[in-house]
Amino acid sequence: MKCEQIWLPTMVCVGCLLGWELLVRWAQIPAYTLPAPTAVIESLVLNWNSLAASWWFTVKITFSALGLACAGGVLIAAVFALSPQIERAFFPLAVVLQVTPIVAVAPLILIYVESTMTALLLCAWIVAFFPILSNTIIGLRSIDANLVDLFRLYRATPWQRLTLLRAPCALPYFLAGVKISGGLSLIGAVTAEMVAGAAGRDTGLASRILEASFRTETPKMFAALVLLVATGILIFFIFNLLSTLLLTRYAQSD
Amino acid sequence: MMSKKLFKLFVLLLLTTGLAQAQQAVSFATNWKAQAAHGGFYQALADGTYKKYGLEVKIIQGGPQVNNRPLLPAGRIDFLMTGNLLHSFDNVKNKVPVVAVAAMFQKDPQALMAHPGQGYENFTALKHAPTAYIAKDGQFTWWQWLKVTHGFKDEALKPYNYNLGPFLSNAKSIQQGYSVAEPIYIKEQGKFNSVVHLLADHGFSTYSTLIETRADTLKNKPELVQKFVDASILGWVNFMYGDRQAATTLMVKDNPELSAAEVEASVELMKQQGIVDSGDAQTLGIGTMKAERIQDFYAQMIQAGLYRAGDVDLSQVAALQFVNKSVGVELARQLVKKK
Amino acid sequence: MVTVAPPLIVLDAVEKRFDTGLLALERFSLKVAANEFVTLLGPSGCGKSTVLKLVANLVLPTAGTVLSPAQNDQTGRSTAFVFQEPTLLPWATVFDNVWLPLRLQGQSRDAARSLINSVLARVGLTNFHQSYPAQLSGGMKMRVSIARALVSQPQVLLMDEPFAALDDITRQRLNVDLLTWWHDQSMATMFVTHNVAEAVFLSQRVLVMGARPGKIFAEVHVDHAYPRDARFRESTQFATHCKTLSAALDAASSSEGMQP
Repeated sequence: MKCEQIWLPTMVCVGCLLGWELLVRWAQIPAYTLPAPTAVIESLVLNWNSLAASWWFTVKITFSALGLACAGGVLIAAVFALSPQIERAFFPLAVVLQVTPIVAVAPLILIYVESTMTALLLCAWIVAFFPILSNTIIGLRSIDANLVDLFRLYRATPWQRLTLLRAPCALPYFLAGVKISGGLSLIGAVTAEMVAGAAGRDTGLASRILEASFRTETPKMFAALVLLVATGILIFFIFNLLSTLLLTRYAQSD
Repeated sequence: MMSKKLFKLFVLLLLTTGLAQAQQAVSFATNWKAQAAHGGFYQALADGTYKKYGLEVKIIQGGPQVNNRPLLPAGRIDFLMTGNLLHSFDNVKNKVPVVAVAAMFQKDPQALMAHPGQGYENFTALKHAPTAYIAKDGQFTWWQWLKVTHGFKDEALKPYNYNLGPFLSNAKSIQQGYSVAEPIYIKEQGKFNSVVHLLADHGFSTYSTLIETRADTLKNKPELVQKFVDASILGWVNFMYGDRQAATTLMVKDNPELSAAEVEASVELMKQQGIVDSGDAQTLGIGTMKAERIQDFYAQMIQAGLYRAGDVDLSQVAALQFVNKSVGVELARQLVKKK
Repeated sequence: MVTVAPPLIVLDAVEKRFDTGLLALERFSLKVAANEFVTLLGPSGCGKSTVLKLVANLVLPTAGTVLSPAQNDQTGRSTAFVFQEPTLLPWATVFDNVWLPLRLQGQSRDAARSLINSVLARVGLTNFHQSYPAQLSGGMKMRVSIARALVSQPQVLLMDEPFAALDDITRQRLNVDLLTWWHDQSMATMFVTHNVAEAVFLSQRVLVMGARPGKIFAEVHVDHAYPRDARFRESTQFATHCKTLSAALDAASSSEGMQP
């Protein structure tokens, strides 16, 4: 059963790649318009050093921003859950952060913030933080009222209530938020770098794509894109796995 | 038999006059929003020169987030304006079948600007600036040359998003710009005369504001190319030395942020710095290109590490048969005498 | 018959009006002795759960007085509550779920181990220490809930329709077991149900409540000795009590709606 699950999508992928290769060859599409998969792989190998370094940079920004988004999201969610007044006061701010398109805001952030790396982190953080915040708030709120009574009955301290009740209750919701934010963090990092442009040495895959685009090196553009897509897929699988591992015992309770 | 010959002649005459009157639709994309550095083309459009040559020209603007370059090989436009030869080198290297057919600027107006009185009066001081605002297109091309040839450092580079704000508020910073444009805006917004260093004065010897077209256009419709080049050259002559009001009006219509005063100031700078009509252009006409100069510039770029020897087949870079015919030289002399 | 001790729980003319304006209880008075098994029988919404919550000190009366061990209890050992749903922590094992009350009082897992083991054995879940709630049936989950209630050895056991969601066979089996557990641990037990047979089987005293606002409509003493088994269920005494209570329940239900 598991073999079949992997076999079928793999066949489809290989089929698509083959079709792409054949199309380019048969229609003689020039490499600067649509490079064949073989040309892309060739460019990937040829430019591996610079692409790998840029890939690492993008991955660092993505996961750092995600980590900060988790920290920020959980902290703010806890504060909001504990104080409805603070939530009423600041939630609109959080919504504003979410709906402002990062494409428009990124150049401004780069003007206001000194270090380019900090600016990129900030952009990726803004995009990634809201799903974690809103999901965790829901999680912290959706605790069985009877459990809350039970904890009161046994005179649980606020710390016990937080660690033994609220946190485990919120975990599935938090993980759902993280799954969404993982991909968004990557998008935020890439968008920020693409729109605002990054400087000199510390550059990620977005800069490689821009550079290749300016120099009309389309196979290299595709090579960088392949790495970006691979990163996105990797993030998806990592958080899916994490979710499954942590939440199996929660399944179909009550 | 006489009447048959006469009849054929009559038909031929009819056809040729008909052909002469039919306008060919031509699209030309620039590399920025309308500005004085595009003036010659708008002039040829505004004063009917293109029309006289049988061309119905549509000018498509570029802009900060717009990249018109892929439109040419894709067949969506007929002619393209590019900023320097590096684009042409890249095209040939990547087997993109486009060719340069004229170079309207003998000097590239690409420059670095600094605040006055900050010690940047000397070009060699620029590399010590803590912050240099360089845009993406520069970052991957001439900035690399600056690093290798003149010792600039990546640590100083910060992204330039075509917003003067950061430069204006940071006295120690430098930024890129066109020597015939940005200093005017800096004077307007920052109220000071910036220090301008033209890259062309320090070895960046590329031609600029080149006209590119597809290789197959060159092969199949050479007369079209010649007409467009000739009309554009005349457009530039009239723009620089004649009555450019109509052209300015057209440019302001395309780009409302431009003002007529800015255009005038820009033309003055273009004349002072010899951007358009200097060196070879004075005898061979505006748009002139020479193979040796292209070779020389390529050799410098190899030294700067942008290319390896053999990357680019120089014979494919430019077609020289459409310029160097002294088109417009006499007209220019007459217009200058009038003033 | 169990010796009647002095009242452990006293509700005196208690009124509970919620913030919404709903009057849940009006002039409600009740006394429960230390080892008594008392059942509150009534239709839904008649304030039975509110009575339990008052005794547990989870809500405060708007008038009248409540006296119960929960009030002066700093450690939370005095009172245990079993809800209609098992209300287990889904992410914890059966063992850890039962450990919860002791854990909240500061006992480590090892220190509590023997107590937890014995109580799990008593409810018949010896082999399920490491299971998760998701793996258990409804009846088993309820046993865990009761084990958790028993582990802190409370003086007062409050049960709010705990077997309502279970099938008849499981319910009857749990009824028998509950009586054993109650007898072994001697607690004052207040049981809420709307099932007449269950009320008769389990209790020494059954209080029929009317609704809106909740108050005691009738009181029936079930004098049969413990331990009670299937034979009691089949006896005429059982049937008579059921008939009496059913009639009282009907009367209580029909009398509501007369007051606004």
